[in-house]
Amino acid sequence: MIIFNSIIRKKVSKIILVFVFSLGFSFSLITVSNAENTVGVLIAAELSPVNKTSVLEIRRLFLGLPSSSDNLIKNTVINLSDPVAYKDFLKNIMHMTDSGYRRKIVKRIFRQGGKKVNEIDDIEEIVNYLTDNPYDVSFMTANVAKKTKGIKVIQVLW
Amino acid sequence: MLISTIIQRYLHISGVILLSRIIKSTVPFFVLVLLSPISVADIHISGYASVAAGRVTNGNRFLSDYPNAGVYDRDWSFSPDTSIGVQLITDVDDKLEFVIQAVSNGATDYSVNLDWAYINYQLSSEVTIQAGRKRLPLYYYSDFFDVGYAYYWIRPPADNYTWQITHYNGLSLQYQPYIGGWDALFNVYAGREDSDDNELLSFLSAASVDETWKNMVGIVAELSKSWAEFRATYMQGQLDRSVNSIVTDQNVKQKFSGVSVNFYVNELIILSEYNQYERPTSDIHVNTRMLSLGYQFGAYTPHITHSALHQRENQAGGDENHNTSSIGIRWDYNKTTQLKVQFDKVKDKGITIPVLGDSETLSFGLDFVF
Repeated sequence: MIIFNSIIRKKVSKIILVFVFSLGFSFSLITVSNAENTVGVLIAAELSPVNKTSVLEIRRLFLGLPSSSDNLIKNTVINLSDPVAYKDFLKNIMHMTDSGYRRKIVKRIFRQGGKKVNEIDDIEEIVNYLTDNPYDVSFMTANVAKKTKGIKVIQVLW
Repeated sequence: MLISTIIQRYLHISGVILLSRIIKSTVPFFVLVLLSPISVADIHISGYASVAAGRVTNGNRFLSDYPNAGVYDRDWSFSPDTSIGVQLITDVDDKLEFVIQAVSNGATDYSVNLDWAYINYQLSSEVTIQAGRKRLPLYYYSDFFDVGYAYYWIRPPADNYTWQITHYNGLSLQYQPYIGGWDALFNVYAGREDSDDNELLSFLSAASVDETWKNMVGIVAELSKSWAEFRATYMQGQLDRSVNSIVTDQNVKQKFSGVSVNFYVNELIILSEYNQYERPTSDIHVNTRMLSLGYQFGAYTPHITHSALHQRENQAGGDENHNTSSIGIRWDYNKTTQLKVQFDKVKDKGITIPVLGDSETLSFGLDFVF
C-alpha cells in the first residue's frame, strides 16, 4: 500500500511538474506573442534601400514634412488595416489623437502645400504598394511583419 | 428628395463649369510640366470643395465672406460660401517642387483664381524657401480660409476676417523644427499685391477701388501640440488706393498683429483669436476678436461662437462696429466629408460706417477633401 502510494505520488508529482512546465511554456509563448503584438515596427519592401532613422524623423515623415536625405525615405503610408496598431502608432510616434492628426495633415496640405499621406487598409495592398515604391515606408506590429512576405523590418518603432 | 436632386443638378452643372475653368487656368502649368523632364507620376493632386446654401431669415443682407464680398439675402443662395480648390504639386527633383492651387468661389461668379503659384526649395529638412504667389498669412485661418473641411463652421467668423488683400507675390522662408515636444513653425515673408477693382472695397463703397499693399514684411510663429496651439503674427507695409482712378492714399504705413490660442482638451475645443490693424496716419485703429467653444460627441460637434470687430471712432467718422453670435453643428459623415448647419446673428452698431445692418442667417454646408 505504501509502495503503491509512493508510486501514485511520484506519478502525480510528474504530472504536476509537466503541467506546470507546459503552463509556463505556454505562458511564455503567449507573452512573446503579446509582446510581438504590441511591438510596432517600421517596414519597407524587401529590396528597399531605405535606412534606419530617428523616431523624430519618422514623425516628420508621417506629418508629410521633408526629412533628411540620409535615410532615403521618400513617402509614408498609414496602415489602417489594424486599428490597434494605428492607435499605438498615434500614441507612441505621433503623440496625438486621430482627429488631431487628421486636422494637422489637412491644415498642412492646404496651408503649406504639403503632399497627402497615403492611407491603405489592407495588408496585401500595403505590400504591393511598398514593392512598387521601394523608397516608401509603413508600420505594423512585429507579429504581423513576421508573417508577411515581401517586406522587411527597418527598425522597431515602439 | 427634391433638395437632393437640386443639389446634385447644381453640383453637376457648377462642377462641369468649374472643372473646365480650372483646367483652363492650369493649362500653362501642364504645358510647363509636359515640356520638362517631369513624369506624370511626380504630380500630386489634392483638393477641397465647400458647398453651402443659406438665406437671411431676419434682416436684409449678411456679408458672410468679406474678401470675396459674398452676401446672403432673403432668397436661398449657394454663391456666397461655395468654393472649390485643386492643388497640384510636382517634384522637379528631391529638393525643388512647383505648387499651384486654383480656386473658384461662388461669390466671385465662379471665376478661377490662382491662390498659390510658387516654387518651393528645400534648404534642409527643416527649412524651405518659396518664391511666387501665396496667401497672406495674417489671420489664423487666412491660409485655408476657403477649406471648410479644416474647421467646424461653415465659414471662419466673418467679423474677424474683414481683409481686402488676401494674397501676396514675393518670397517666404519657413523653418519647422520640433522643440521640446512641440511642433514649431516660423515663417518670414515679404512681398506685394495689386488688386484692381478690389472685391470688398468696391462692393462696400459702390465704386471701383484699386488697392495695393506693398513693401510688406511679416512674420508668423506657431507652436502646437495635440492639445494646444499658439500662434502670433505681425506684418507691416504700405498701402496705395485709388477710387474711380483717383488716388486717395499713397505710401500709407499700415501694420497688423494678432494672436491665436486654441485648446483641444479631450472632446472640448476652445478657439480664440485677437487681431489689431492700424494705419496711424489715417487714424484707423481696428481690433477683431473671436471666442468659440465646441464639443465633440462622436461624429457630431456642436459649437457656439462670438466674434466682433471694433474700429476706434476717428475724426473722419470711422466707427465700423459689428459682432456676430453663431451656433452650429458639424457632422463628420466620413473621414473626408462633413455636413454642417449654422445660425448667425449679426449686430451692426456702426452709425457712420454701417456694413449691411443687423441680420439673422441660416446656412447649410457640405465640405469634403480629396
